Amino acid sequence: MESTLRLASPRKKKFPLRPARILMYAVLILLALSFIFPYVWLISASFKEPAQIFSPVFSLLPRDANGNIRFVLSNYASAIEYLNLSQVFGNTMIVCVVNTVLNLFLNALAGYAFARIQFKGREIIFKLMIASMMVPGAIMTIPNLIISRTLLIDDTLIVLILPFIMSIYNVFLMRQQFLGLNKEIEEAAIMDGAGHFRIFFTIALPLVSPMLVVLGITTFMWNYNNFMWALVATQSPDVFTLARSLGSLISAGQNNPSMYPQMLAGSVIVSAPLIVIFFALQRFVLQGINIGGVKE
Amino acid sequence: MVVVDKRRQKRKTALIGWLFILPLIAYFLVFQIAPIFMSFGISFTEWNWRTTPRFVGFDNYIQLFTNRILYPNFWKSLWVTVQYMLMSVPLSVAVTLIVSAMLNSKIKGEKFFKSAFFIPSVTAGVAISAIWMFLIDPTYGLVGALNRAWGTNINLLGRTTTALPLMAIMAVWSGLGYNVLIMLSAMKNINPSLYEACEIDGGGTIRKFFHVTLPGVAPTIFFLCITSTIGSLQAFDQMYLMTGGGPDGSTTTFMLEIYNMIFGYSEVGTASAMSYVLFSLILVITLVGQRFLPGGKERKIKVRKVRDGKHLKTC
Repeated sequence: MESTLRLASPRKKKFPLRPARILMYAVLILLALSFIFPYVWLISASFKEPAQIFSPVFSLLPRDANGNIRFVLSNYASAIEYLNLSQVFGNTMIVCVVNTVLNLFLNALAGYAFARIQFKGREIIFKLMIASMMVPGAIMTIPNLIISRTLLIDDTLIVLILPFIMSIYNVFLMRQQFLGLNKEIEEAAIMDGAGHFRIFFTIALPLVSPMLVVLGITTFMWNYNNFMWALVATQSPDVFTLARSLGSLISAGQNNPSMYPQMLAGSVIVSAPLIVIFFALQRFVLQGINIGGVKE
Repeated sequence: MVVVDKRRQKRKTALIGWLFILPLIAYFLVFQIAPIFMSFGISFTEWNWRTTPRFVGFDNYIQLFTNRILYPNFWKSLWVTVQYMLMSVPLSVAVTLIVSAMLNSKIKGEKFFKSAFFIPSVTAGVAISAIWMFLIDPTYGLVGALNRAWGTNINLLGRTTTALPLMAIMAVWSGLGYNVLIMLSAMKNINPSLYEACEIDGGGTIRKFFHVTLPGVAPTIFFLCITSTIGSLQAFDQMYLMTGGGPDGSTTTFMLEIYNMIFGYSEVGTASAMSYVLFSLILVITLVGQRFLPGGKERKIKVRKVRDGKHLKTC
């Protein structure tokens, strides 16, 4: 990876067109501002007094009626209450952690078999799986509702977990990853009498750990953000996830601007954990998407 | 003796292989295969959750396509979805290409720009809807401030002409960071000697972009086109949250209409039929795309090479 990247960035001559270069920076900076500004404004507004959020005077910093800078926390208090935060946060963590752990283990297991174990029927099953990736999620909604009602798990946390304990797409990515591993170490281990289980746990899995980190992050985020399924499958507020709970706050505020203060604070609360995780693990996330990209 | 041993070994390996994919098979059968067939079956019935499903043949499909009084929103929501796709996909791919090419030209602060563009990709989609709702509120948001300053009355979500384009722009905005990362890594994989060759032939920046960069990333363009098309055809969250499909149905996408059909009208059979219409649409677009989009052909060749046993490791 390192060496190919270094190879791929050519030593170019200095850009000949100076004005073009300046224009390019201008465009990029403006674009970056359009990405950063909404967030800055969101955070600032979430600390304003409700009256100031609705005030006609535009101010980027939270100010009180006299124009002095003042941060208030009341919006956060009411958002925490509306979101039922402590319970909903716990629910979200359960769903995300259980799904991430199960996904990593089960997807890797299957991916390893598709890449490394020869057996009859392997290719057919793999092709079937790849074909099924074309089927849109829309088709799954109604049957999954029926299945979960039959299993008596609808409107519980299990209904948010069970349909997502694996991901065909991630099985595919794991297989690619295992295919790329050097076979010699494994062959030596087989010579020593090691079985596939031991090779999987002690050799193959540690070697693909960068990919596991990436898939772990993306799976966690996907479950954190999963809104539509949570909307149709859960109705009781005590099994809501963060996305589901914020969703009901926002659709309530759709025609009711007086809910904006709560909505803004709620959005900060719900977005902050993922953004913090992203900046903490940025290196892995960006590298991982490179891996996925190269494969395409 | 040796032959028997080998055969036994082979059988044991096969058993282990099946053991490894056992969870996958169970998952696949229950949550992928069974739903596909169930949906298909239900789409031929009349069912409202409470009654027992009644078989009606192709009636659901026929009614959807022909009965404009019973299902006035079917064609409209299909058209809204197609419009949304036609707005968001080309815009998304074009902006991704331009931004990636800029970032690929030995620019300072590449990492800063990449991170900035990536923030929406790690923001909960629900929160993005809230941010934009506030931003474009005609009285209180940024647009509200502009309205006061200019004495205008811009209400982007309140007008049938602007609501859907706004949703498309929002989708491009929130997906840009992820797409740029994929595109950029494809651009960095282009062989630098191709650029040098083009330079020797007297090619400038523009020519290099069209003759080296663009062909080099064709498979990635294809990938982005297909994935964002499939995504846009299933758009739901922001419409449900921000407009509820309004004003006047101008943002009622096909998925939102399916949702209404399930929970608003309790017409589960019809909703299943609609989901199969959507599936067919996605299938057709993917197959047509494979044939006509740039990069589609290379992809096919790649697939064929894999089938023939070449490139097995890299692809």
